[in-house]
Amino acid sequence: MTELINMVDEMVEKKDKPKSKVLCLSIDIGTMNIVCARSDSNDIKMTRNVFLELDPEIVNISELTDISYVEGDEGEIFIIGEDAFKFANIFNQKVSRPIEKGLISPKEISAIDVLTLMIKDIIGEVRDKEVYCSFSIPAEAIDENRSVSYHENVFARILGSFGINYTSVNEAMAIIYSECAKEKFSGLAISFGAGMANVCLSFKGIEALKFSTARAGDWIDKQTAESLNIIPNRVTSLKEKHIDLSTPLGGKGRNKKDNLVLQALYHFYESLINYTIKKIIKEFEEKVDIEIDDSLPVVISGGTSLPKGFLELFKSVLNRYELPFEISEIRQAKNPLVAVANGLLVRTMSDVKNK
Amino acid sequence: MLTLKITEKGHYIDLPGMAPFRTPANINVSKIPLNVLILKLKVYDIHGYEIVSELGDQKIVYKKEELEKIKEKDLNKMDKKYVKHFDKRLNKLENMIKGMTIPQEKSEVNINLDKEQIKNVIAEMLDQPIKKEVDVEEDEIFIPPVNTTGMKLKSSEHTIIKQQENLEDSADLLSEIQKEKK
Repeated sequence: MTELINMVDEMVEKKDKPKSKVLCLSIDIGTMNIVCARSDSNDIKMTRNVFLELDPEIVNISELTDISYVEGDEGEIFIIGEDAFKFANIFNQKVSRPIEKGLISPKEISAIDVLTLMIKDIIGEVRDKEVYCSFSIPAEAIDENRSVSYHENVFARILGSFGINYTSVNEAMAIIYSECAKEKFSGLAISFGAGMANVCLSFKGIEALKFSTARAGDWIDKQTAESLNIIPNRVTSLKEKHIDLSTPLGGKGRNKKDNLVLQALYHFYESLINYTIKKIIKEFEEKVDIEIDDSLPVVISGGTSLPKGFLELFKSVLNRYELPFEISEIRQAKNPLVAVANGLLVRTMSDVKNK
Repeated sequence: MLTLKITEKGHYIDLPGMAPFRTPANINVSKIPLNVLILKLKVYDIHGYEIVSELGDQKIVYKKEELEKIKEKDLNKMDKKYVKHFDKRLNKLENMIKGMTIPQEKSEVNINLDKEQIKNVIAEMLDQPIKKEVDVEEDEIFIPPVNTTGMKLKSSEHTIIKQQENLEDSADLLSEIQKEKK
């Protein structure tokens, strides 16, 4: 009976409330970062998509000032975001990555609950608002047998638990929404992320072809580390500090050993681009029926496309091939780190307008 | 690599850190502690299984009988993390069941309506639109429940990037194109 009374009170309260404002959101859930954009703010928020579980007997919560963390219901401590890397180095532990090769990792037992709180935190205040959100999902990978449905449903459930209306949008298509408005949303977008490379060919806002490959930034690090028999973290660190793809030397390190790593990195960047272009041609020939007479732009984005010289390297590799359509321009997204989040927000706002 | 081969049919197995699956099955269990695995198989009352260990060219098959020789005390040495995980899931299930039942002895009248019907009657009285529950076909994929009750988040600042684009114009254009398509 008490439950019924509470239910009636709740419904009366809802009826008396003024009509809520509409808020459009976007969340790009990547292997390395979570990025969130809101229609009511000029700030795009970004956080590292990693966490680290620490033994509460080792660390006291009162010592964690200026650190982002989640405290579990049984006293567990999860350091989240960028701080997780710092603590991992201090305690010589490996950070947990909720997303592995672009999809939610089944290995991490605590991942979903921690991710839920990380997403809630990055979204921020949504009370008394009618919220609509688009979130990014990768396309099915053509070189690895992993289902996207589970990943998609987990994030749908997380957003649903906050009372948010959600739509899932292909990651590369989001780049088309953000970067190809002047071509009326026609183009080929390639998102070189950490875990996957996502490709989408759009013709006047319609997805004509989409797929992903399991080769991207992490693959480059792993291959380089294996070739030179060094740990991947060392490769990642050198890559982030010194890589320069405008020279086949891959940049200039502090010593001979660093230079060798940089040369190997250049080789694997080139190999990644080669592989992706070959797959685009193959998939297009096998799966696209329409004749495309117009010339289309090729837009590259994602964290792996950030190093100096990536665009030029991409252009020079692409010149060795003939794509099945005319290319009008090859360009990089204006900000490769937030292009997906911006495109998702464009899609959310457009959907709300058409409601 | 450790491979679990279950020959018995018709079981729905949920092992820690893996997506649930149906038997018969042949799956890689290298990442699951052996004691946890045997205990779980015991709980599911599965008798027809064997574990194949492959290391290079070497292949060793462990039958169920051999594996069960592992002393009871070894089975009790379960990873603390997994024990916590099972406890947590059991508590969640318990709470879900509690939430579904209204204790009969506490209700003054035995109401012959379900919660959804009562909600609809009240909504009508308050002139609110009635939300109809749509029958959704049961999904084959298991999606874990989201429950952050009792968890606390303390957040410091995020990396902020200032918006440089005018997304409103792009959204207008996309909206027009989508309308044309309809």
